Amino acid sequence: MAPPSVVFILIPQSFKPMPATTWTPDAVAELPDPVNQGEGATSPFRPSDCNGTPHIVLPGSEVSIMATASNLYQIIAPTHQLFVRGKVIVFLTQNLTRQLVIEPLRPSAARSYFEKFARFFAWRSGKDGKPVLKPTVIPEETARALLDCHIAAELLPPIKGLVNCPLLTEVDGQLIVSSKGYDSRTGMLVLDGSQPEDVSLPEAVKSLEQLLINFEFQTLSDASRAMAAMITPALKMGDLLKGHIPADVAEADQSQSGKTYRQKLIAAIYNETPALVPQKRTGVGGIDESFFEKLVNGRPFIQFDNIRGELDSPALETFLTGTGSFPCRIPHCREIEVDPSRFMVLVTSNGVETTRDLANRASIVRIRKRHQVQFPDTLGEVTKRQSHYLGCVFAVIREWHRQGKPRTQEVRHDFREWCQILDWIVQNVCGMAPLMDGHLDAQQRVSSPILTFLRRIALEIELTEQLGSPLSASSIIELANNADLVVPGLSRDDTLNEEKAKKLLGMKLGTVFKKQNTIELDNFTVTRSEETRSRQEGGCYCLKTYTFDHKSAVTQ
Amino acid sequence: MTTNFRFQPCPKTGNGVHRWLLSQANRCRLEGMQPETTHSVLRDGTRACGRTVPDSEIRAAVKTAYESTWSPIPRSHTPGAHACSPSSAWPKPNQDSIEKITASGFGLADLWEESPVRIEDNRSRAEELITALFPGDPLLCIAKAKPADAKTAPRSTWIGQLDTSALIVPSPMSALTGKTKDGRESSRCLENTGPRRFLVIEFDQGDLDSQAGRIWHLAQLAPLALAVHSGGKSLHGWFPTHGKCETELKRFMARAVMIGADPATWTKCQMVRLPEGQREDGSPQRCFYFNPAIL
Repeated sequence: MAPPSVVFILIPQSFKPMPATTWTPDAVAELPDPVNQGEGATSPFRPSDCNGTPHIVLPGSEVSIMATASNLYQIIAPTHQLFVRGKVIVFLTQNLTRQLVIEPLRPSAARSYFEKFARFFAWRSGKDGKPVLKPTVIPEETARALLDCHIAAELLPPIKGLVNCPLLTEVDGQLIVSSKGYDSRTGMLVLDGSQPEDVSLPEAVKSLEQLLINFEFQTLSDASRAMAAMITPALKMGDLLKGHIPADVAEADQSQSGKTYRQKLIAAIYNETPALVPQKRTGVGGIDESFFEKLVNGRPFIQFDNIRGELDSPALETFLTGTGSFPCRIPHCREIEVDPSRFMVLVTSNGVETTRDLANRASIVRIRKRHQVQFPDTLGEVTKRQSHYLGCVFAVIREWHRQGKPRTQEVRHDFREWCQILDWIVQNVCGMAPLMDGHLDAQQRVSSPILTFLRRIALEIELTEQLGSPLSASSIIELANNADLVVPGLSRDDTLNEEKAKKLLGMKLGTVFKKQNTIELDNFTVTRSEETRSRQEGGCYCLKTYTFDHKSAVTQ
Repeated sequence: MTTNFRFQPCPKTGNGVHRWLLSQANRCRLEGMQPETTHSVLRDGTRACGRTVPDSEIRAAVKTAYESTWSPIPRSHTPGAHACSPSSAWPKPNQDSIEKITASGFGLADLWEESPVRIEDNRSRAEELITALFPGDPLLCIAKAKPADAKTAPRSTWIGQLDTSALIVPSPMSALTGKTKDGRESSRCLENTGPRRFLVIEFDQGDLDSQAGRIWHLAQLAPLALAVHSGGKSLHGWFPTHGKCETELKRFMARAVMIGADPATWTKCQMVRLPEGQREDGSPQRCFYFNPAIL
């Protein structure tokens, strides 16, 4: 017996049903007569929904899983509501903040999800034993089989990520702005965002500089890296930059300095808000699990906010250098492969301490707190005029493209393509300082626990107004205890053991001052001196002291 | 007990004691018992239900049963009859439909997110909400803790007492008192309840997320003004009637009952949780959704 032909009628589906503002006819329509409802009738509320909906026959003795899956996915594919990611079928859903995110479609949810697109029937024995088609609900096992069917990968569009603004991509040597919807070239789904404004280059550069004017950057190159951080996402999402991009690491001397705010500004230019990865110390799952979840959700900006202590995430290191696909493991779901090239990783901290590998994959932007300054609502301005600021970024990129996509010879970062292109842009289009000046020192410092410790001690000394005074190791330990800082290598239990802490600090400082008596730490200098003091009981000893002082500040 | 017929055990209070009384009174009548015997059977049956069932409530059930033409066969099961004809029994909950709605994943947090007006602090907004729901100075029937406390008075009289009150009749009253079915004078009965202003749909089965999903499902069909958490296990959706006739409203109610709503709130004078009021144990009755635009 041949199954009946399948009717393909595409029904536009609105993703989020809006509540009714008046009584709809369906609300007060007569209910269908339960006596006359056939076996397995699935929709007691809206019988009108059945009209014109494609009918699909579920697998059984006469119908293969492949045939059903093929019929179903041919209906769903053009609607761009289901996608494949790696080998997993994913769909769009809203998180608690009403952002659309990508999630794997689980078999239990697929049962009802598929009903948005078709009515399902199964062959059953009717009167006299003759086979008849009866409406049915998809069993979970069948839903799982349909989700796992390889034909999905051939029929459904692949998705690499979501973005809330148009992309600037290159087609046949020309830059074009993609519009809302699925972009098959990049695999990105553009969900929202107005078309960017056409902005002249001088106005574009001025507007972008205005966004940074209220931050006090430690050096001019920090400001250049902040500018680069605003331009990089457009280059990467539009596939104009093929290689890896570094994580934007925002470091401040004090809390409330604006480090998170600056990264929110970057995301706002692209009509996004960063997806937060909390630094979990307790509870289920570690930082990597949260990170995987955000990657699976597909939002382009992922922020590790206010990292305290060491950021040691092998997953993040692998991710920042990963090519092709990156496997993510989330609870209750098979492994999902994501494309690392579509994400921007943001990190904020008041004292980053990380591994050398992660530091090499970072672009560190250091800012200082500005006191008694009334900041304007820059974020509100960017949100309000998002299409203008995106237009500014596109204008800068267009100029770089017009000049033949030039690069500098900069080699002071592992991600050469990124640093050479952005170095050229910030110097030649924006008229700013070289991108990488002072960056190696910052990388070295964040990957050295003792240098990070000394920087935080320097900040404490500045706060307690002891700059310029020679301090002994004991005084430094006392300061550290007051500020709840632990000498690197000292266990928390030993923080009150002054002798042990002093000995350890002495050893660590010995390696730092092995070759010179003065070191520079961001905008501080630390000078070691030795003086001979006599003991009351006779004899003398050598006392090492450390003097912390300011270097001159640079204000953007 | 003077009879040996199979008696349904009385549910615990809050799970339909009032409805149980009428159904068992009808069974007793069909068994041929005298009203007095039925009364004592019901009295014995409610002893362990968790609340003091007033004698008047039992008398009313017995009177209704022995005066009605109740039949044990629901009309919807007789050929040609329709499930939602106004006089028929309520439809049974359809588990498939409930599961389908719940599978959408819409929960209480989403309902709150969707609310055009969000109440974000812990201060009770009972006064503001009641003013918006019942503009002017209509007669409102409000109870401090339990239905037996209900009093009817103009809205202005209730000012200052709403945030500590638990229950309200969701329609303005037409008189300070009226006559109950058994002829007593009462401040809350069908006779002194005015035209239906709101149809309140109460879900008390399943978790709050599932209940929120079902209220949101109904909100696609009819205007949702308010969603109130009872402070316990249920969620109430307030739908302004906008002049719809009782037959139409009953069809909507039937849809709600099919996805697990309690049919008790169909009774016009049935008290429901006062929005942003306070339960007798002090639990707040939080409002999770408020759309003043459709009032």
